[in-house]
Amino acid sequence: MKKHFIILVLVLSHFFSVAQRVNISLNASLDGKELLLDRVVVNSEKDTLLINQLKFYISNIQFLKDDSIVFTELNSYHLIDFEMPASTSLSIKTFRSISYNSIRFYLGIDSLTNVSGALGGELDPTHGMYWTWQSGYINFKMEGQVSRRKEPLKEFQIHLGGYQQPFYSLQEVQLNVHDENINLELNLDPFLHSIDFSNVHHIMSPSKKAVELSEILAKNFKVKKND
Amino acid sequence: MIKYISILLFLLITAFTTRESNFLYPTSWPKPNYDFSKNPIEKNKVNLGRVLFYDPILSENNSISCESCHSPYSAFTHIDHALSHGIYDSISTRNSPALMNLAWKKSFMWDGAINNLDMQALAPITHPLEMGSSIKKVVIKLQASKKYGQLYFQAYGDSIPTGEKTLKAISQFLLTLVSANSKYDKVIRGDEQFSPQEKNGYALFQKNCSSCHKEPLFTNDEFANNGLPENPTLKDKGRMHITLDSTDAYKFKIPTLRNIEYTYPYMHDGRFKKLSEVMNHYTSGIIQSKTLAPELKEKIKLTENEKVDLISFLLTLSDKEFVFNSKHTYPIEIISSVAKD
Repeated sequence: MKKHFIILVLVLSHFFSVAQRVNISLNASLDGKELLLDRVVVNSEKDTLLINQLKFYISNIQFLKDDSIVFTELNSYHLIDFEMPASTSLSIKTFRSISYNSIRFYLGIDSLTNVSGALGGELDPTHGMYWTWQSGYINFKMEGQVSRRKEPLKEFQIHLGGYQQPFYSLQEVQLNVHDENINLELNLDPFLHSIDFSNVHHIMSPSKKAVELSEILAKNFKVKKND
Repeated sequence: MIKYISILLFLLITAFTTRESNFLYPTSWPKPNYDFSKNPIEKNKVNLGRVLFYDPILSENNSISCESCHSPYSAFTHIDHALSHGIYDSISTRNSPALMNLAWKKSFMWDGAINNLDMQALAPITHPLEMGSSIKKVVIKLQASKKYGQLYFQAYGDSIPTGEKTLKAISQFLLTLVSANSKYDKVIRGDEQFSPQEKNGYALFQKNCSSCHKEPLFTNDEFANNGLPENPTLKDKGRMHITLDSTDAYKFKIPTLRNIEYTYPYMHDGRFKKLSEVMNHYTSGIIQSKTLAPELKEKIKLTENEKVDLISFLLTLSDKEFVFNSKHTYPIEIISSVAKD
């Protein structure tokens, strides 16, 4: 009887404990300013850019305290789509109060998930983030128009993915954080500068270049100080 | 305590076998590769998948269904067409493969581009030379249909189609396409006997073909270059397009030989119309190259009589019950039981 009572108390306390939430907001910057879709931007090198689609997956979100994991989100797959402002704010329920000083996540979808057949929710292939001619999630998708040094505008499509070696493009990002509200910013400039837009307008399959570009993206997330 | 644990284990094990037992196959066959725990076979899901398989709603202008290139009467391929035909009379670049025993496959397509049966349908739905649509457009059309509202409700207890449910239902129907009742199977089970000619053909098969076309599925599901000269128009390098590795050049998925009588023409580009041409290729048409299958480096020697015997064995792989199974054909009985659109 006493045993049952203890279990009951434990179960109840679990439900009544304060469900903490960590809010994460994501934005992207282009030429030092916040990215807005469908706006023409001319940078200092006279390149003209118009981005009309920016989507990527953030998965396996974890919080760490001094490099030991204090919380791992279950079923952690988030499609960030800049056309859907709601998708750029994540609210992670941690169920209990946690103390952490860094956040870790994947940019993209891990290999095991990639071979697990049809999945739903954020991973449903109707989101346009799954390749069809070859299996695999598109981890990062950017589409728009570009002109380098006053050449005519040309459409470009960059779809990064690849779940198998040697072109496994999943990237891990880890950043120090101090606040309950985490503002993440992805600086797109180094990524865009490493694409030769005079010659290349389509990257749409797993390759060495796709892995290289994924690495550059992963290195350019930073935590913005709260105002 | 041990008693309880063993009872619990027993319950767990039986639970899994009942789930899997919905999928029937010969006990002597290897375990399927498909993960049934993620998509257990259920009658109403198979029914939904079967209706989808026969419905041109999957194509952009409602003209092409899966069945257009995968007819049940030819073991689910497109006979007489070397390359598959698609939307707006377009012609694709490869021969549509026959569909059977798919639960055992590790990858799909001639080049293994697809890693899971669930994701296979996305390729033809999207390809501009096949159905020219997208899973998103298909799901929007399905969501507007009363007929499908009912069929999804019966299958999933939820009438709203999604990409996941659609693809998994198509898998369910495809998984039921098991061919295991040819004369060969009956001979193996001891119910029938080979003729002397077939018996000799079987011996020749085991000596010359069975390392790649492994029994009982008649494929080892690997990729190999079988020494075909490159088609100068298609310039198809097969598996290399996926791995970008030159050691995979001209390697294609080794197809099953089951129902080979019904699935002509043969090879990834449908270049051979008759089995006799296939025999001649393996005895005198092999092109030597770096990636040629090691099994073919040494010439296969067959007399004309032996070729005939080998073909007579291959014809014992025809499974008439499979080809004429009314559970696989156009689902008139299901469609007439639900709402019309």
